[in-house]
Amino acid sequence: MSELVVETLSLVKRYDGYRNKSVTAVDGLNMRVERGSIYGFLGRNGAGKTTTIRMLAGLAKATSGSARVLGLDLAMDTVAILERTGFVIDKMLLPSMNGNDLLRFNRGFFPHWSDALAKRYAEALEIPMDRKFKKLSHGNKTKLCLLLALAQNPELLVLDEPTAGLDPVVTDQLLRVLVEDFANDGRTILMSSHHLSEVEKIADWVGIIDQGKLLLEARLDDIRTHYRRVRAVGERLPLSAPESLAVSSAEGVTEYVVGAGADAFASELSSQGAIVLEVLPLNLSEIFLVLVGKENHVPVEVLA
Amino acid sequence: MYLWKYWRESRIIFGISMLGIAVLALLVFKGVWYIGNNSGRPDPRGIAQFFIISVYLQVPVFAFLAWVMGSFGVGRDLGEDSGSFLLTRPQRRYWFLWRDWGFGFTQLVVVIILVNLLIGYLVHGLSGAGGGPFSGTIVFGDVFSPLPLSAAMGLNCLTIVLFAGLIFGVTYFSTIAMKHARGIMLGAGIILGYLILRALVKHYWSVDLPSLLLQAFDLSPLSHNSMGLSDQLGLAVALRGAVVLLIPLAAQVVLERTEI
Repeated sequence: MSELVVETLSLVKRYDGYRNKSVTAVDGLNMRVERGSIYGFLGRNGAGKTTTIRMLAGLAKATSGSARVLGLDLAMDTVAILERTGFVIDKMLLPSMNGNDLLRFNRGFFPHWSDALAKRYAEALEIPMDRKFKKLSHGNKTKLCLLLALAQNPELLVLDEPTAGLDPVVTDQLLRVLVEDFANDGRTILMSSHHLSEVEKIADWVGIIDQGKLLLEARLDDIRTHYRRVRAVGERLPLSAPESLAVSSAEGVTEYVVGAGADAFASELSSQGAIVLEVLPLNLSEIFLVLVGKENHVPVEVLA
Repeated sequence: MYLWKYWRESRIIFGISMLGIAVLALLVFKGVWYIGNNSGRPDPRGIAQFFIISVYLQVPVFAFLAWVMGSFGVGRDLGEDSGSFLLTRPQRRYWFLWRDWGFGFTQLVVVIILVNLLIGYLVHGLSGAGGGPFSGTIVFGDVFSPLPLSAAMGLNCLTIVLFAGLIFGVTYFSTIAMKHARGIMLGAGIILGYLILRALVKHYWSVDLPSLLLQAFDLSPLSHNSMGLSDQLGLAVALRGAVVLLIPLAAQVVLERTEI
């Protein structure tokens, strides 16, 4: 069994609202990130991704449940976790410092800090290090945040929507650095996003969260290999199926999304007298839509 | 490196303070030189009164300085949305807080000591630096029990340090509580609110709430202390010192519970 670098057990985060109305941002999350993986943490806006990451960074306290990061208890060993983990959450550093000042400020905190790495990434990502942070473009701000996280030489990198608002060139630069430099060393990335195509490009694991609940956690390869859409017509078709993620019926056609054993299930349907119209593979976007299932909020890239 | 960050934020204020001290030093040295050449026999009571007035003259200056200095640090960073960056540096939250508070307070103390050294030098010149019965002393009470000038200077310093520490702490606490540098307005509100409350309580119930300023000297004829020191001065200093330390502790409690 692979070593887990992030493991949450029934993690709950509830915010007290007005007149005793509480909002549950994370609802019993059980998440497992294996060492050496690139884990795409997917969800719509407000699904609970950022709250989960904030809890992992020790910025917010869990209402209940527990979490272990790099084998350490989050509640007890926060400092040790922060020493070994690079967090990029708000893409906001100290606004009055320039890149060089930020390197100077940051290096004293981290035992494995590397000036050589910082220099290399500053050149590779073309960051103007002598310009104050507040005067940098959004892309350069994000790159500088990533540079600081990388130069601390972490075992785990946790990124909250790192490519949000970036142009395709900068996005490509960042993803290349993450995959080719960082993850190739056998280190782990946990990255939240709602850009499914980017995640599909680099991740090997995905977790899909909605309304604070983890709906799916699987290897991307397993999704590609085993997840299928089965469409059938017939009378009295079953309303559930083994390993099914969703079942829907419209205009006489029943559609099953199954996580495994699609061919066997199709055969079973045929043996029951149904006509199986098609068994189709699913990509990540389709899986995401099936799980999150909000027809009115179809991601743009899916429509495209 | 963290102290360097605080230093970067506060160095302009500290630099302006040092410039002010340099100007004050010039005036004091010139004044002492003038007194040395022109004054007659010094009046010990007048010198004591000048010494006490010098404390009150420092109050608005250091209230403002402490108020501004209290706006630097973690509270300001939270307001600039840098909290998630700063507080994911591998240290406990109190580590940041006590460094902010300690370094800011140290800068204040340095400025206060320098100003009071200059005042002491001026008083030393006024009281007859070249000799005379009251040279090197100040008469607050009985003329036969003058207080050494160094002790009086120390008490003046302590009075201003405790006062500035209070204003600084309240302001710093307010920026943490508000998660923004705008907390300095809350800090000012708390201090002004206390002053108004104190005045109201005094007016309607004739009860004296503690002053923001330590009353180290008692010049009234009913004073029990021959050197003109207030009763239970040690206790008053200890209690005010405790309050000054309790405020950052309260800020720590708030910061530890703050969700970023």
